[in-house]
Amino acid sequence: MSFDWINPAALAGLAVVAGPVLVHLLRRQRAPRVTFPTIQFLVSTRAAATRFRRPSDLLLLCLRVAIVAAAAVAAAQPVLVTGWRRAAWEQRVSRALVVDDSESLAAAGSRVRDAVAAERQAATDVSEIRATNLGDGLKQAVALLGGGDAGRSEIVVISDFQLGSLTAVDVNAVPAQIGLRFVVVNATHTAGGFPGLRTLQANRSLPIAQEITLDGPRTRVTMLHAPTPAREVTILSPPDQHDAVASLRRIVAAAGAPAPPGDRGLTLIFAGSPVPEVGPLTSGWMIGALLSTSADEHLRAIASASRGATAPGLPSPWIPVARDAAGHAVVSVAAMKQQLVAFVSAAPTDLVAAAALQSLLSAVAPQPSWPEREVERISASQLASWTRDAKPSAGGWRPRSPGDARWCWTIALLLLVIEGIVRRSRVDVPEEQAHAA
Amino acid sequence: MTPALDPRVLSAISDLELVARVTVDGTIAGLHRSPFHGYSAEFSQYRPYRAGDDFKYVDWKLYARTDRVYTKQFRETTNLLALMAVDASASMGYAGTTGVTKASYAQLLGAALAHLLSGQGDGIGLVVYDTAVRQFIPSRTGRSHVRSLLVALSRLEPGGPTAAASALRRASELLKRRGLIIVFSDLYDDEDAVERELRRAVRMGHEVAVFHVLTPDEVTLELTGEVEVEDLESRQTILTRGSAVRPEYQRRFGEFLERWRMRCAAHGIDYMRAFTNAPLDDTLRGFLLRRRAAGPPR
Repeated sequence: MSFDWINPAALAGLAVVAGPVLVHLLRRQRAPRVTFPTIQFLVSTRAAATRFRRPSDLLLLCLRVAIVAAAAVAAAQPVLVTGWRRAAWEQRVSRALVVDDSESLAAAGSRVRDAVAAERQAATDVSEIRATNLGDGLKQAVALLGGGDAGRSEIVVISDFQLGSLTAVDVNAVPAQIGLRFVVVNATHTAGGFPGLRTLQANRSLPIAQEITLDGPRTRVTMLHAPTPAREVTILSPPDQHDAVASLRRIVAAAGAPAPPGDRGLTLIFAGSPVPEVGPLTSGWMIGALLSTSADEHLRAIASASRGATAPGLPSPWIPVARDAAGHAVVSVAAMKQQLVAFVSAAPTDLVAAAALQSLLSAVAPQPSWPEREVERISASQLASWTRDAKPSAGGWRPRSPGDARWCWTIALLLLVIEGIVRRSRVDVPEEQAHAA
Repeated sequence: MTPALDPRVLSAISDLELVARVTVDGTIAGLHRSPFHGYSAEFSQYRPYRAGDDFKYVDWKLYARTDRVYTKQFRETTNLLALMAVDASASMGYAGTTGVTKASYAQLLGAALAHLLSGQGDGIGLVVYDTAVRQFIPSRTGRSHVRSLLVALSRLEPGGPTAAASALRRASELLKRRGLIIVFSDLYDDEDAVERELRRAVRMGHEVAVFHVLTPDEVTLELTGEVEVEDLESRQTILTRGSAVRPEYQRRFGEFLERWRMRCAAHGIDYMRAFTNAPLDDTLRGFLLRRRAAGPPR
């Protein structure tokens, strides 16, 4: 059996115990007042303002010292560590539920809720983390459990465990003493198909649409003749560059660039063409495309290595997204009605023109969430190998607030009451004496 | 022999007349004759007869010789006229450890004397004073007069400062002929001024007796430890330590008592200390015995 302290710094407050002692030693006792028929025969004795003297009332002094000490100890929040308490603490498990919040589980809401409820019923100290990325969810859970004071910690992951949703790297990042458990929901579908990209259609070629079929570990992509043509990219260039522009379309289409969706228009203008009147970006998807293109490392590398801008930069509202080595804008964007307009100050034959077109198409077309379409699951044997029991915390016993502070406060209050009674009795005696006098 | 009359018991009895009677009965049991002496009838003068004068005082012999009607006048001669002067200043409200205030003791003593004197047919009056005469009852005889005097005594409430000189001067003037002035006081006052007025009263032909009323702890100083002492009259305070100042206090107080004894002795004033813890009959008997030993007035 030993004592532990939740807030040991508060023990410094024990120094305050010196307060009552000093007060008892130094205070100038007020002399009781008595009446007398005449003071003409009395001699005055001079009293010092303060003086060292023996404590006038040892019982009161002891009580006051004990009150201060009890309060300081209570503030330090002591915990009496008994074998029973330690065992109970080690048995207590703090649990974090990492619930997969991804699209693949959207249809399995009730099964997820049931699984969460079952886990909540099994423990009292449960936290829930909803995450679309299980790796991030695990990191959050570790951080959450690190601040707890339970004897053991456990992370329960509730997901359909699509292949790639959780990796050994994510699992190994979890500290070894934290237990891991995996609850699988909605793992029944093992096959499925969905439409893939609608690729850019180059110069009067047949419209092509992808059809993706997942069957266990196998993925099949079928290129189908689309019933309707895909939306084209409008490219404005000087007449002498039309052939170059056609070549540019073929190259980008052959690279598998997606076609713009029906509601998102894209116009590419090369230097030398008349520049239409444009305005600032007005739609969210335009701003998303601007950010995505600006962050495209591939485009930026090619732009900085290009021969340089062939036309001066355009004023606002054009926004540069790629610059050459001299800092001149090579690609700038603006809005024209519901279309995103990009001005390229390079020739269509320049590599930067192809990179800009591909980057803009990728940014404009909505990105399908491919991992959410995965039908293959992490194997049960893999999950079993990652599963482990919770171990007692590496830091050992960690006292739980408020500990036994309440008993110390109770003692301090009782002492305060006793001190009041004793003090009153001490005050009453001189008053009675004075009254008698 | 009657038991000693404890002032603590007597002060608790509200009937002052009863207390006075009990005290006097116990006191004069052993005294066979009165220690108070009256004055014999004494011819004063003639004055022309006025309508309404008693014929028995007409000097018929003189009328026969001179054919004029004169009436003889006498000084009042029959009995003693006494006037009690009771100090009602705040210091008289001090009780000390005895539990009996000096004012209460003076009340009891005064009541006993009033009862005693009226029983002999002497006149008795009362002056209650602090800085001035607070109450005056002229000296008269009679049971009803004594009863009203005792009522006045029983209502005595000490309070305020003392300045006895003017009150004593007034008392001696209020006593119309030679008489006895009995002072009950703790004499915390301007000693010279009070002495001057007492001497003046003596010179006016009055007998003067002083009961110096004191509590025992005023003499011994029973204060312990460091105390803040408040003067009952001036309300001034002094910080003192009883054990440290006791010898000096007792020396000074002893000098004060001795000074008053000497002052009174110098003018033929009957001075007697009356401690509030002393049995009342003892104090009264001591006073009466001293007066009897002193003999008739000059």
